[in-house]
Amino acid sequence: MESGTSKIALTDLSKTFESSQAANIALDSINLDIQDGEFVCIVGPSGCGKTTILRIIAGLEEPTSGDALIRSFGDSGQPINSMVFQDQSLYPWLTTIDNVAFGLEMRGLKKKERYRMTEPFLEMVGLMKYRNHYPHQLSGGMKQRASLARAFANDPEVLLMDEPFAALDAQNKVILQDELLRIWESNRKTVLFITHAIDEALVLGDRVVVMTASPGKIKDIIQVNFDRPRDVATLKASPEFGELSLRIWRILEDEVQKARLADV
Amino acid sequence: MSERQRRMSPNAQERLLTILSPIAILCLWQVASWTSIIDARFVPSPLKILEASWVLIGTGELWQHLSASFFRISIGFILGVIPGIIVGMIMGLNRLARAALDPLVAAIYPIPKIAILPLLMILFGIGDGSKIAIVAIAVFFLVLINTLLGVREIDKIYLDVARNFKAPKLKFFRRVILPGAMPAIFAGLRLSLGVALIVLVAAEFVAASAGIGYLIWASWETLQIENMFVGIIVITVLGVLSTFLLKELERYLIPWKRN
Repeated sequence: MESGTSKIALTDLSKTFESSQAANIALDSINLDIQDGEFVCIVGPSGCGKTTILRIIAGLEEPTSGDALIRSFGDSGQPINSMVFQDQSLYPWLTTIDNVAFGLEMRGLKKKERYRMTEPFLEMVGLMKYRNHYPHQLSGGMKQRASLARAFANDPEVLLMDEPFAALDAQNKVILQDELLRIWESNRKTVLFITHAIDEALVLGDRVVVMTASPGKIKDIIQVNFDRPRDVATLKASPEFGELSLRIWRILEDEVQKARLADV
Repeated sequence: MSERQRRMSPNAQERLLTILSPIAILCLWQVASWTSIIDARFVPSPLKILEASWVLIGTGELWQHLSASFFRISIGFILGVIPGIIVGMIMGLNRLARAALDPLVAAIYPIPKIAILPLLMILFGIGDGSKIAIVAIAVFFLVLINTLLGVREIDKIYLDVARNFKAPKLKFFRRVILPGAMPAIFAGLRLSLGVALIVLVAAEFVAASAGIGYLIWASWETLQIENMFVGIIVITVLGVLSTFLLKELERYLIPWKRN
């Protein structure tokens, strides 16, 4: 399991949330190595702790035991990770370009410089025309495009994505998945992508990690060998895609049932 | 076609009505006064009030009262708002400051501010000092509480984003906390404006020799009811104007607010 060259290394990662009544084990001994430039998706039933994994790697949460390590190969000025959040996370008081340039601004870049670095990403997600709009003037799809652009523009070594397309309608979802793939093809950063949708994981990932219901453990890891660059709609129509998603569904099925029972 | 053109747009209709309805009421009032339906000794007619204000302007009396009140309320407002925002911010950002100051604020805030006017007159004298102080104190607590709330209720995700992007302290404050709390601060300012006017007029009723509150009270005591109405109208106009100015300032400082 342990290899010295992986970009992200999770070792015996566990997290327990203490409440007054009971201790809730969210994550139980997660071991996972992600290679540099790899796109890994984690699927699991709701409440399996997949978001917690991401928050621990991002440094927003402390593990109860174990380690989450990102190995830095870049120069010291480059940020280690940037996260794309699930909910509406753009600052309502910043314009689109200032939101997308937020990471660069926090790193102390001058306005001219950070706008120059931000504009290609705005262009890539088609928001150049809306650069001076405030988030409430944007549609849901545009907001998530801006969130993606914000993470990419920060130029981190690792991108962490927490169900960024979960709130979008089906058509927007496909379009944004295509856009994400296109941006990713152009710079091939290491991505850890959380989702509850099997098809999304298969469309995007090099590997799909399937998790169990609470307490969250890794149940299986599936290699996804579809050719890149991928086109979402074409890929989804292929028989191989159907086979693989059925296979993952069979692995996931029991866990979803368990999660449902735990909910009631 | 011509039928349609003669009709007004709903917008223009509404605007016309907001101007027409007060004028209609004033006319009714005037007529009621002429026909003695309203006793002119207690409620003078609009024309009488207009005449009285013309006289008060001519003698310079109105200006003297207005400038006295305006001076007290603007200085008091500023002296209350700035510390209110600062202390509210500190309490919002610092757990320990919150724990230390919360009980104090909770204990002092509910005191009706006019109840401590005598105390303030002992401390700051019977002149402008005590009036400025009472306005400042009333405003301070309202702004403090609203600022504190504004900081505390910034959505957690905005703090997560700032942490993930490693925002340095000062930038975090300037780009996240301050704008995040701004709408609540302005809500506090709007409330404060109303309370400041109430407290000032009440203080001027009992302990002043100039000011709009004094004008109203002294006119009542000498049964110059027209002058009393002039005072009431002037203080109302002052309230409306300052509310308008605050709204403009808000539009300028919070351009992201949806209408």
